[in-house]
Amino acid sequence: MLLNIKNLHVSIGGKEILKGLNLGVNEGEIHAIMGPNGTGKSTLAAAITGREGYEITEGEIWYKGKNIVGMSPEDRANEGIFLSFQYPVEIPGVSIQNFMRTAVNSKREYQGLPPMSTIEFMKMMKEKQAMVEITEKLQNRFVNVGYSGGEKKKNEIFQMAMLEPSLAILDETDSGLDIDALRIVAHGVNQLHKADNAFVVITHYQRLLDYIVPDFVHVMYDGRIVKTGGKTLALELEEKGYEWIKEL
Amino acid sequence: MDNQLIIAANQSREIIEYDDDAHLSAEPKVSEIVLNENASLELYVLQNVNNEASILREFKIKQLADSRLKIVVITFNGGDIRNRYTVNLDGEGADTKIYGLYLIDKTQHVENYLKVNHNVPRCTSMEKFKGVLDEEASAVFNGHVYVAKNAQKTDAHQNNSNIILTPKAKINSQPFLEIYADDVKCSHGTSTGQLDQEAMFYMRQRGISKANARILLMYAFAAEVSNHIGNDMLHEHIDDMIKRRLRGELSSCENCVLRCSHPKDYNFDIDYSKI
Repeated sequence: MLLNIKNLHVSIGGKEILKGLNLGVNEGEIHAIMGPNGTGKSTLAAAITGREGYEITEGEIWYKGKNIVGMSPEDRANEGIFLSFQYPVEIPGVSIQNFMRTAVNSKREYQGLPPMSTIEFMKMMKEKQAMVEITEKLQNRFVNVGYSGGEKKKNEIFQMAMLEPSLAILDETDSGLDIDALRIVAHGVNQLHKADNAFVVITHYQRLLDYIVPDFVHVMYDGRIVKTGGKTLALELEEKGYEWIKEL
Repeated sequence: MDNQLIIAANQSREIIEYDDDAHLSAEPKVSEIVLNENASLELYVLQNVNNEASILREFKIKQLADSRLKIVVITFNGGDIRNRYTVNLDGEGADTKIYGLYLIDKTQHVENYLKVNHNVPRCTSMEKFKGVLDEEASAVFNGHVYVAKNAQKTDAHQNNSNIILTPKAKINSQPFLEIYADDVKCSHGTSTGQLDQEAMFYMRQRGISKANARILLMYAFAAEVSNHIGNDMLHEHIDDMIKRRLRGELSSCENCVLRCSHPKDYNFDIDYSKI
């Protein structure tokens, strides 16, 4: 199993948000995590990626056979965990090109590989940008500065393509996207989906799942996964809303 | 150690000054600079002395009509550094730009005092000072822009921003406008903060080490000043020094401001032409 989360309890500032969550993800699978706001979906993403301030009080996160609780965010990233941020961060003064080159070479250094040559890197940039229909103009701009909502999300998928993660978590990637951008983002994800990697797609709406078809749909409520099903569960949620799961 | 510099009408000059003596006594250095009509001067000042040394540096500047002045002062290291700039804009259409960067740590102290006098109409001035303060370093920014009653159509802006890396580092920032004319565009601002933690996590999630993420952010901040260096070779050299300074590699070589260059391959590489 690629990712195996056992009885995970996470607190922020002493307040318990995740209350005994279990989740298993195999290579090649796409999992959707749905649920009302404030049930801990983004907290789960933060706990898997090692964000500071999220205290794991109980439980384990096993990834590629290692319990990664306590591992630094950069080591987890270099082990192949990628988060597409719900709100990608603007970094004035740092161009996307140099940002990505630093990231790609950090991963290579972690793997004991020499830095990628400039020519090789530029070729890779061009290829991956085309995948999410990013124009060359964007690459010279500062990371996320002045990007539209759609550009920011496309840029996340572009970075994912550059870093080729084993486990990609998409946190509300569909929020703020028009239908064209949504299609481009989904197309990028589907191209990146391989037999040896997995996706965890956090979403509030069923809409994204028309384009990225999940193998499993999990419903979160109050810090736990309360129901798991196939892709039809997403349709059921769309139809019935979230009220009924509170009774589960 | 005083000197006088007069730029004749319609002439342009570029001057690079570096202060890297390991002197311990603080002997004030005063430069009187006159820019005649339509003259232009780019003055680059680099300060890199050891932690026990002081620098007292003063510039008294007079600008006549349509003259252009640009000063970029980069302070890498020094125990106690005090810079004072007085600019008199005495001819219409004169333009002044003063940029400063200080990257200090340990118990180092840097002060920048500016007084820009808009004595006549239609002059422009811009002062931008940025600092990164680590450990117990402290800095003072005191900027005073004076706009005389008849100095209409003045365009004057000043800004000071700082990144404070520890609770013990201190900044005292006082931008100040004194305006007697009524048809002017003037602004001033100051900001002090820590490194952006959201940006730090974003970079680390992409596999960039905490140390490199810090340096990337600090370098991007510093480059907003160093990008104003118009001389390409000097710009490249200073950028290299900024990277080494931020990595903590520069303070050990105190006497090397323009003499030693160790271009190194870093695993980050910022395209400052885009900044």
